[in-house]
Amino acid sequence: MQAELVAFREEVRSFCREALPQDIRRKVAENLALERADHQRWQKILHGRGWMGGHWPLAHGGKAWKPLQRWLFEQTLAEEGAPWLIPMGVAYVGPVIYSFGSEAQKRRFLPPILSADHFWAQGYSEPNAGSDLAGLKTRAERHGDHYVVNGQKTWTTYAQWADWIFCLARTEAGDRPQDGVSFLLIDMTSPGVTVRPIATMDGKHHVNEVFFDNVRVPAENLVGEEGKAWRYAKFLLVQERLIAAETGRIRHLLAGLRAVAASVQEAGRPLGQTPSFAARIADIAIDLAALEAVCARLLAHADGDAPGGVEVNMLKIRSSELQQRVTEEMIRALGRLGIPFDPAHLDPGATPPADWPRGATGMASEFMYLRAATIYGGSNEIQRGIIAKQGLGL
Amino acid sequence: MATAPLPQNATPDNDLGSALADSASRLLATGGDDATLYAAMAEAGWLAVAIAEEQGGLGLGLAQLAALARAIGEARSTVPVMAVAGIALPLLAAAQGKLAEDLLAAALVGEAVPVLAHQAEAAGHARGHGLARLVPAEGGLRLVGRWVAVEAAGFACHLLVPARRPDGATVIVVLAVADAGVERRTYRAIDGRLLMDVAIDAAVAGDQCLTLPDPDAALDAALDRGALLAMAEAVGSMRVLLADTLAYLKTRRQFGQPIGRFQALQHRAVDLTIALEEAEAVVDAACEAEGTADFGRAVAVAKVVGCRSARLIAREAVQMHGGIGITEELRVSHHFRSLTAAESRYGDDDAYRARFAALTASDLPPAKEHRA
Ligand SMILES: Cc1cc2nc3c(=O)[nH]c(=O)nc-3n(C[C@H](O)[C@H](O)[C@H](O)COP(=O)(O)OP(=O)(O)OC[C@H]3O[C@@H](n4cnc5c(N)ncnc54)[C@H](O)[C@@H]3O)c2cc1C
Repeated sequence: MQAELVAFREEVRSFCREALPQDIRRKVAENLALERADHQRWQKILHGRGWMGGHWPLAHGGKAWKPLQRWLFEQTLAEEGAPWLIPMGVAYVGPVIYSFGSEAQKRRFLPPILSADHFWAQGYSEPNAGSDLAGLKTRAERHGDHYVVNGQKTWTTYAQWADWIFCLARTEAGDRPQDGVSFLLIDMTSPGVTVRPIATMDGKHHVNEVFFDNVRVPAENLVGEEGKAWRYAKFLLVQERLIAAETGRIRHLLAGLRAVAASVQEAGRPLGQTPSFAARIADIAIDLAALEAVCARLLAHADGDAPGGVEVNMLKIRSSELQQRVTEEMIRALGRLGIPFDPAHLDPGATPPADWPRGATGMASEFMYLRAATIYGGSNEIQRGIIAKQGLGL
Repeated sequence: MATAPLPQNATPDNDLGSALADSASRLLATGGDDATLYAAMAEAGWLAVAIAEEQGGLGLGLAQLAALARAIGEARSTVPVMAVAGIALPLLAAAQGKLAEDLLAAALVGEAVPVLAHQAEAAGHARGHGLARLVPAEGGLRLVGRWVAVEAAGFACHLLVPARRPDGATVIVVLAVADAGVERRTYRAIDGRLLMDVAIDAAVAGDQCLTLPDPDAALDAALDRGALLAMAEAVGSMRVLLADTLAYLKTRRQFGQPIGRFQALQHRAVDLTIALEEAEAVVDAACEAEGTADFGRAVAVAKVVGCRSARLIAREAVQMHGGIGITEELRVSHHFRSLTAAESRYGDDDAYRARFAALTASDLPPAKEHRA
């Protein structure tokens, strides 16, 4: 790696060690529930350092980082125990807006993304349009200078925190299901928008249903051309899969696994010293090294915003599987305590028994949540389908 | 959501057996809190299933108990009846003397609830490690030890505590949970069961030890039964998950067709079916091996294969359901949690793989057979 990049990584590392607030650090370390305010506080700290949207162009307040630098940045944040950089604004809709939006949209929406004043949600999936996104039914009818939106989105991550949601909605019936879909930016405080939480097995509140009942959306909130959302959506999916490599998160989880394997006992010794367990931890670390090697090689050659080939789909598959494997081993370790799990212990104010491994409840929660890693962002079946078709011509 | 019919259990070949099966479907369907259900199960004879008739039981054996465990798994009930009926009571039945007899009799009618402290704190899944210590003290003996993940928290009134005497011999001490020097901390496990940590530093009398011809062997058999019944319960969950997943593959439509039309999913659905078949077979085989020299090894096979199937079926059921698979709304996630817990109950597959290897190495059965 180039010396500048190594130096940059160390700069990010020491910044995290100084600037990441202790209370937030603890929540992340123990996989406790974070609040919008926690994310916002940390993002504002990064913004103050000029590191929000570092991969954005200079003209829009970014630093024009190449993909490799962006990856190192995000990896180091996660490795240092910083909260996940919620991608909906800075990684997803921001690039769509600066690539396809109007000047007015750029002026209005980009700055509050970087300053973390606006939180965004992604309104793609619907009850009957999951893997088959083109089956979406939400309608937006043009009435003069605004659209009237009706329909339902689902699995909408952090809609409960969102100020804005970017939505795919059908503006006309096309020949192909992909035609006639438009990309709309909708104010979550608009009359007719209802958010209903979906309870998931991990015990934290991530996802929601979002209902639109005659919601009026000013026509100026259409991004790009009417009916051409598919193009923007595809651009965005590539963004989504690129950051899905999540090697930093895996490093962070792996450190947690090593810690729990050191604290849980087997036959009077730390479990991590048991040969079968040690071998599985080593296997995970080896596969992580392979994923990072693939990432580094791929990104070193990528110049623009993101490499567009099926390699990013490969990253998503491997990364999601690895995230699951690490947490599966955590659960195996916690099996020695019967796997304690009480969602109330995810509250940072709770005091689980002191002799339990640190963050035991959070580990169980993370294990369950990460079952979704092979489902969200396009399931691994869909990823494999794309690689087979587009990459291998099968 | 679609709730597919489950494959029917084979019809029991005796009246008692079919009465029990009836009670299982009736009790588990009506539900109610765990205490009410436990009492009703005791009333229906569940606790007596694996106990010999001359000891006041029904003498139906482990296979019959495993059928009930499977029903518990299907219903995802957290009633700790197997910890008593399958583990503690047969252990008491193997002992001689009034202590064991009285406790067994009281337990059979649901008046006493004994459970085995099966996992010492520092032992993890290693059997025989970190047992409590029974040491001479002023005016008698003291029992000192720490246990985790003890079942039937909130129910148990007696603990069967494996301990080592200063001479290294294993004994099983009977304590009342209300005794001075027994501290409990109750917590909920991922599958909803209530477990407890138990810290013991208590004075005990010499006559609180069970009289067992071979306490180590009795303890091994008890843990084996625990592992086997955990896998029998798991089979119940696996059946539900497979049935629900197959139903979902047929009804959920994407890209204009049921997702079950996609070959990528078809082949995996077949693998799940094979996995369930295997899990059922190894559990049945281990039940049949009860009382033979091969029981330990058969249980090890059941645990290793059962865990592999449980893991595959649990994870694939969620995956093939997509987003809805991780929600609380569907029982898919509930059974996922049950199977996650089942993997490590009474030892995980690592532990039983090691045990299988040790048992196989020590008695070299093929060579013996050839010599005979
Ligand atoms: C935690 C979580 C967060 C999410 N966040 C968001 C969000 O913020 N915004 C948003 O818009 N969406 C979000 N999603 C939705 C996510 O993108 C969808 O869940 C995903 O696309 C799958 O759709 P589905 O759940 O409807 O499953 P389905 O499409 O019904 O799939 C069910 C199963 O069938 C398989 N399958 C489907 N088609 C094929 C095929 N052709 N070949 C082989 N197998 C196939 C799938 O892989 C899956 O295993 C989130 C989901 C989760 C679980």
